[in-house]
Amino acid sequence: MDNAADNLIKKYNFTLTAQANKINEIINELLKVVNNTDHSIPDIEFRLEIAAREILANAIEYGCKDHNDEIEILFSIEQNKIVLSVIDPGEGFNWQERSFEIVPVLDERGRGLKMINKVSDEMDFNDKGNQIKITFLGGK
Amino acid sequence: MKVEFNQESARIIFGEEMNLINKEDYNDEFMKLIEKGITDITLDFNNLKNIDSSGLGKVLHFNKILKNKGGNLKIKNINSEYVQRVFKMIELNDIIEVH
Repeated sequence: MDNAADNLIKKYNFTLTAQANKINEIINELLKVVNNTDHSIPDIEFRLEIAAREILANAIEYGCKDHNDEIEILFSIEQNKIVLSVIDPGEGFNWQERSFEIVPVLDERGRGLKMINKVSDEMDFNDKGNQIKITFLGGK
Repeated sequence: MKVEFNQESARIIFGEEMNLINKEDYNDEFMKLIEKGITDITLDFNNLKNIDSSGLGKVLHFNKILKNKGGNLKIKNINSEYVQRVFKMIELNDIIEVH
């Protein structure tokens, strides 16, 4: 039988004002949570850092108009699952029409979401396209 | 960031980050070298600890400009495991000369 403590979900909320120089602070907070929690998610530090860096940069670049705009970050962690959800105050984007497959193209833009998709186990958006939710799954 | 150059070639020594915040600063320095007619440029990543997709996009942009001019872009000294893994993940090593 599973130990009940293994299934405890820890939930955290962070708010990022639309300033790119604050991204590292949030990433450090997320990594601190991960490192202080017993989990079974493989290679999570690298994967989470990649994803969070891209998601937060996208939220600032495309989802905010003003430096005082706020981005909401929800982070939940349990033994076999980590979920990061980020909501920006923007108009959203048409994610249904995007391809998330990484191919070695020379284009300057359009690589961020592909990287997020590559490192996460699941990637979802709300209909409007101003919220992204990624999930990392653990082993047995 | 530090830039060293002579008449034919240049080396841009990166700081710890290349991202949304500072990519245009790197772009400005790069374009100054192009305006000087320098088309053999090395990006020195010795100090670089992290890079995001906008920074990677800018590196690809540099590569495209130099290729169009018959020049050459090289990347040297990728020490950070994070940066190495990002490069491998997006298959940048297949596009740009990495030493």
